[in-house]
Amino acid sequence: MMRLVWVAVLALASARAAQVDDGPARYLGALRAYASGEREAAVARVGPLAWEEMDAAFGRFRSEVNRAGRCRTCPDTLANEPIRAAAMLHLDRDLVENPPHQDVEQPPPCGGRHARRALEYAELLALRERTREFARRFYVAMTWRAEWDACLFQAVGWARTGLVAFPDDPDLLLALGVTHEKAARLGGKDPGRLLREARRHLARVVAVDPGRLSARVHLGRVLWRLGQLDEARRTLEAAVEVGGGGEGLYLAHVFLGHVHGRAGRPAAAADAFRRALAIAADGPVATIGLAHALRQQGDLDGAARIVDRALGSETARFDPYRDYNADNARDVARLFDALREEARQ
Amino acid sequence: MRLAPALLAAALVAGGASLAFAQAVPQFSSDVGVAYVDVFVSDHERPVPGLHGHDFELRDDGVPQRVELAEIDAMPVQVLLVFDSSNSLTGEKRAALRVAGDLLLAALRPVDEVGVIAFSDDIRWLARPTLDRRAVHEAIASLQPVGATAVYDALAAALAVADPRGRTLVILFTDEVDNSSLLDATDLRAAAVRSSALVHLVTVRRRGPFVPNTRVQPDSHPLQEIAELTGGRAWIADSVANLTAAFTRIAATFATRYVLRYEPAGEPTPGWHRLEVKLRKGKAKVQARRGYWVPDPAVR
Repeated sequence: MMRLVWVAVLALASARAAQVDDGPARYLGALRAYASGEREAAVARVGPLAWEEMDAAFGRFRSEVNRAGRCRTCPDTLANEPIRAAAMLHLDRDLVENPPHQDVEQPPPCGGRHARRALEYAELLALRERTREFARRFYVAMTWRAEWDACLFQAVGWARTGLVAFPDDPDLLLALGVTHEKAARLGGKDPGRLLREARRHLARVVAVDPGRLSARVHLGRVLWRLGQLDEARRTLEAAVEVGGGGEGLYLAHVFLGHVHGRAGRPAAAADAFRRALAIAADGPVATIGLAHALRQQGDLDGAARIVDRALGSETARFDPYRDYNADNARDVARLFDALREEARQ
Repeated sequence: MRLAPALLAAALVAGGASLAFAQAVPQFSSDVGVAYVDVFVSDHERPVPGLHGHDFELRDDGVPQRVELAEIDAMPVQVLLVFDSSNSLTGEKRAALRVAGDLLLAALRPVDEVGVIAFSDDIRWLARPTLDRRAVHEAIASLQPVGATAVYDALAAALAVADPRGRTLVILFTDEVDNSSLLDATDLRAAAVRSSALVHLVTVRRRGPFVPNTRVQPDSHPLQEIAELTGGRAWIADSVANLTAAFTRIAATFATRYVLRYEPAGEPTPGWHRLEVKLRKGKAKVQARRGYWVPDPAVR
């Protein structure tokens, strides 16, 4: 009888142990499925899992990474573990649970627990030499994603966490600067302070990577908004000198035109807007800017003519300024796609 | 040389009204030195009819002017409806705008042209200024919500295409704060002072924050001061249901406006000229543009 009781107790304990082990096993199975390319199925499998189960696996990964960090000569036991896949899996699960809004002007989701877990995996990835670059780009992509969703606290958090691992990284500094610029534009508290923060980060990008046109363009715009018109003009003229991409150059001319106009130089403003229009013919924003400059010069008929034509245009009119406002949103999906591919094992 | 009154009348009669007429902004050319100021008088929000030229006191840069009432029936109005078609234009708001548009159209005279500009982060003619009411009605009905809000750029565009020699009324509807314009309130103020158009702003007071980490829009709209500068005003509805009421009241002002005519003394100096208009008697409220701009030929 006593023996039967013991058997029953052992059976129960064994079943319980199997249950506990089963959790990480299911989770690890999902990670491996994701790494092998079965992304949708893996993301769905993670949904019903308890956080305790996922925490256990994450804890194990973290211990291993820390141990490996302490012993450089030890064999790399994590080489085949799907840690990159884990970061991407949690990101994708977060996208399922907090889908990015398709429309602007709607209250955005700002990431949940899966996004935070993705961040924790990124921190592990940043500690390992072979996955550092992956982690860096992951931080950049997550920062832009949060910035696009106007989850500005989260964006700043992602960028700052990334900068701890990658000080002076120009991509992260640019994202951080643009996030502060956007916060000021959207009416964040103390816009002057936000703009000064933006200026600091963007100036650092220019110092680290002088050829980066977008940083100069953003810096010029921020300086304009701070009322530093001469500095803004010099920065934007330097951006024009850098040249490079058509869209960046268009924006440099547009912003330069705006600076000239505000400084009481409508003729120079009109010239700058015309240069922008030479890059993107019928660019609506440059057209509005040119019309404004012409009206400041007293040429009401000329202004009316170009605006009337622009308003009546039947062709689709893309203006790079819209992307400036959307702030690199176009790149987010591309960045994540590249990272998902790299997470394949 | 100033245009003699008889010559001015002849120009108007000859169908040159739109050329000879300049609402609010005096035309200072070698031929014409006549100014017109569009005025609305109300007492506790009700229009005050039956006033004469001698009831008004008008000062141009502090100098009292001799005022006559212009014959308003001979002066067509160009109405530009500048409607927000960004993503926030919900079905309820669209429906309200359609009703409001029809109310405005019904209040206009057959000689008054109407144009429709839709804006999100793109700005387009839905209907160029026309006498064809059906075309305007259909244009308003075709509003589709898409994109962000570039309200400053849209108003700048409307002021640019407004007939500088005619009497233009811009009715700007937006339910959002600007999040996509190149130009800002400072630019718009500069554009408004150089324009003869009268701007009414219609908006709905926001109930909640636009996005996290940003503050709620204040009660007054940044464009309110600009509307008042031009002689118009801001109509801030507290709900979508009350939106049509705002348009109804704008429509009511159409038929009960006065146009004051005067001949400014002396050579006009470039820059801003302050206008003050009030009634000689009574406490009724007078709405008129606060000044006009004379271009500086040296600014090129």
